[in-house]
Amino acid sequence: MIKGTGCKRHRRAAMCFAAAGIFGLIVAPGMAAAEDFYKGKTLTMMIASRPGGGTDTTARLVARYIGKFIPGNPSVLVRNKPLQLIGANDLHNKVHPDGLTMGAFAGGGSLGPVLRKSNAVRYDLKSWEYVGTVERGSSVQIIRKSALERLKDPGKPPIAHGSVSTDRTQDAVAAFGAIYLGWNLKFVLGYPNSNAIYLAYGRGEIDMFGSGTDKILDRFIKQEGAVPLVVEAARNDYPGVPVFEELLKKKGLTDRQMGAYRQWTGSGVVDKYFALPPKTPAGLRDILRTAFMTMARDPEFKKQANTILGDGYRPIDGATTHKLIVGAIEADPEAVAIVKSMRAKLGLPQTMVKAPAPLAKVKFDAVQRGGRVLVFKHKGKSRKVRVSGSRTEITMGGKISPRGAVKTGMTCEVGWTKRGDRLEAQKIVCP
Amino acid sequence: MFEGVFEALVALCSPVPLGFLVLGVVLGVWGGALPGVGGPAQLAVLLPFAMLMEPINCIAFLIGVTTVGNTGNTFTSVLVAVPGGSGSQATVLDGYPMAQKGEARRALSAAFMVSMLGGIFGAFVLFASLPVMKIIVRAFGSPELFMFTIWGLSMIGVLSTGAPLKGLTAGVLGVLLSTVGQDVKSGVMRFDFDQPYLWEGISVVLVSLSIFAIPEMIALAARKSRVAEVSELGESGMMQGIRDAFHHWWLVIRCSAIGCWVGILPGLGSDVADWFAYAHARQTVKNPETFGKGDVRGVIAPESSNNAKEGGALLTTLAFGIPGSTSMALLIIAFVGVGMNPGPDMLTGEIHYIYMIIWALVLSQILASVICWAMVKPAAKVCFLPFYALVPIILALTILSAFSAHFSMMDIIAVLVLSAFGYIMKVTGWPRAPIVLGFVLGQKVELYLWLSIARYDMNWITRPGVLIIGAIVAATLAWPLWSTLKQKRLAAARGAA
Repeated sequence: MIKGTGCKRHRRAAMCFAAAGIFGLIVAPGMAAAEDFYKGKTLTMMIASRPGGGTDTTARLVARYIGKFIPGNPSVLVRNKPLQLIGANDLHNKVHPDGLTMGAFAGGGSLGPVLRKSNAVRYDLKSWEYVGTVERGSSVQIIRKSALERLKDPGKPPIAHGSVSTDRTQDAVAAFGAIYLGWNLKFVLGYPNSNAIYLAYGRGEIDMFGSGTDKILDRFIKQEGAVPLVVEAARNDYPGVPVFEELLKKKGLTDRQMGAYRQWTGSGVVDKYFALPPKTPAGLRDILRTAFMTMARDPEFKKQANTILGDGYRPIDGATTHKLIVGAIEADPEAVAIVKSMRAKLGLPQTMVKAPAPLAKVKFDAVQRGGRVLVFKHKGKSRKVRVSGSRTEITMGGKISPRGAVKTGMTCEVGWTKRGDRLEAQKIVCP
Repeated sequence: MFEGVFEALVALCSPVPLGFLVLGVVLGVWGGALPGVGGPAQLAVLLPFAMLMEPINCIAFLIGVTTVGNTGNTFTSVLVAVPGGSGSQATVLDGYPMAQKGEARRALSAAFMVSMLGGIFGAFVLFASLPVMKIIVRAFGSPELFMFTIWGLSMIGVLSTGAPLKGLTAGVLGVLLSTVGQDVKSGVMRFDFDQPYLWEGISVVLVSLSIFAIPEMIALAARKSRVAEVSELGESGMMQGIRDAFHHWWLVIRCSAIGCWVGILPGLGSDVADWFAYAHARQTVKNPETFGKGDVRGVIAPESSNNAKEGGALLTTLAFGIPGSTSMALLIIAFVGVGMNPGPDMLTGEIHYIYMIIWALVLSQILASVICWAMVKPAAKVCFLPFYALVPIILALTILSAFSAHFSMMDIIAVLVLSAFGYIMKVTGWPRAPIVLGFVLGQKVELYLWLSIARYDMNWITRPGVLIIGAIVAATLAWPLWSTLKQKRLAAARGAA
């Protein structure tokens, strides 16, 4: 033995041991705290859809398993909201950011209204904390075999395409098919959920719809006389079925028109995702993110997921989900304009935003009734402007804020219009 | 085929599945008896446990829980005028007056007997329809469903005897109330008055509790008395109730058929089966003037239909694997989770599961009625509790039930506002049933009219189903008028003679 080496080794070992001890002292309370937080608590899974559809089925599957992988093993309680928009508005405005409520959404239903600038949107997807996504595979447009001959023949009765609203990617495919590929379609909107669409097909009321749910696609293709028409993105289980974007390219759509297609289908960047309200502590978000991905690798979960969702599903982590969603909602005004004109041509619901009122910089002399009334001077005249909880968009420092955050003495940019015999603020932008 | 049918019964009657069936029925009855506890909410809580079971046990347990809630609902509907669930609203109209007359036992006994008969009828229809399931479900599209909702709305006139204009106004108000909230197609917020609470619309639970339950409790407290206005309950009540059920066998069959039909038509909802049956009974029986004053037929009609609809609802769920209601959706989730495959595949490869479901339905109905009968005597004593004991308990239960709508304090404010409205209607003699019926049907009327026009333009009017149902609606509206005219002519002829 070389003299001194054994002592060095012992010193190194002692230092490592001390470092580990110090590390444990720092980390262990955190881990214990993480375990303590969810112990004995209930995590509520707020599903932004009625029971039975794809979002509900996926979310309930996750709800059954995720509790096991969260330190402290909280119980998981499921609650349904009737619509994506309502669930999203609630998550943003009503749910406390305490890590005890997680929302489950579909990309199309929650991103779609944002992309088409609906003024029913009261949420800001950029500010949400994302736990993860279950991606089931791109949607497939299926059509009744007997209706195929009418698809490109405008002289024959149009093919009825059923949907809830027009926010999903499958609706974009149908719309672009109608405008650019000459599909002879009639849009039947307003079915309350996916199940109602499937029943309508079964009754012969509609002949075409889009879905990403493997079980449904299998059933309707094998037993209900449907054939796959196009896929949104290439799928191994549908070889030979044309990819819709490629059909559009072959048709020679311009870059702007393709941009508009990607704008509309941007809502499909994520399938069924799980999110926490804004300002949820990062530590709690990370606990849930870790639990989600660990759950996704669990053999028992995978077995159930294959049974319920089919083989094509894959999980996406929370950070990637965040990037995908934020990237998708950066709206290109030209693309929005093209989508708007398409919707008008097809008789689809339009965006609700009126021409924006010009913004004027004003100082609030008084803010009354908890932010419901603003009093300020503009061009020498005193103005009393109402602030609506649902129609007025209020941002502070770039973040959507409640009207109660507006205070006397603040200087903000305000745009207002006449509504009946009163003035109402359309937009308030405060630094 | 018959071997498979009896094999399924034998398998279901083994100790373990039978035990789960009994447990499911007990939980279902208990959940149904407590306002706001049963139905989809209870099912959602029990679902994770059910999905750990073997398929046969899962079937026994969940069918037990899901299909007997309307039997348990009857207690509060009859005894304290609190609709126990959406399927027992119409029962209040005659059930509670019967309790006030000291006939609570008779009302409950009749209700449980016809619940059992109606439920078995529904199971029989389900079995008989197996070969033609899809044909039946496919026969009705959005236009036909719209006409059914119009038929339902036409019954507002029936429910407004003596005050047709008030009834019509109340019905219109109910339809208007149903439009509050977000429109599905366009995302437009309607009548939200800047309140995020109203984005989701008003819950049917809130409306029925506010319009019926709380005004009755206020009236009870104002009278400073008790529910029963007699000094004691008759001893023959229970047997009389059973006799009533068989005496009115034809009414039971007709109303069970109505319930089945409503169940088969996905999207109409279980909360209309009892109203359709009640209104039908009122239109077609002799001496309908006693309805609303404690007529046992007014209990028999809705109670037979709301149990019969379970068999009808399962028809669509099993024929297509697509649920027509929230409860059926949860049921499918559980069945898929334990490895079954609801839908056309089940009709060929897994028919034994369907037989088990049918037998579980039959056994659940019988068991639930037996359990409820056993509770009739002690339960009926509630009618003699003094108001200062009863009213606070019922109000607390009602408020809790209202809170379960959205789990928001605004639910309680909403129920207080609507209750004030309901009480004013009560004291000023406005019929309240039409407002609830209008509310229940309002959204469906708009939905199916929209879908009909979007799909068929105005050509939907000439569809054979639409014309047939339209003729039935016209006949049901014209029948009372024709009856009255005929009676007047007969009376005039007798007078002249």
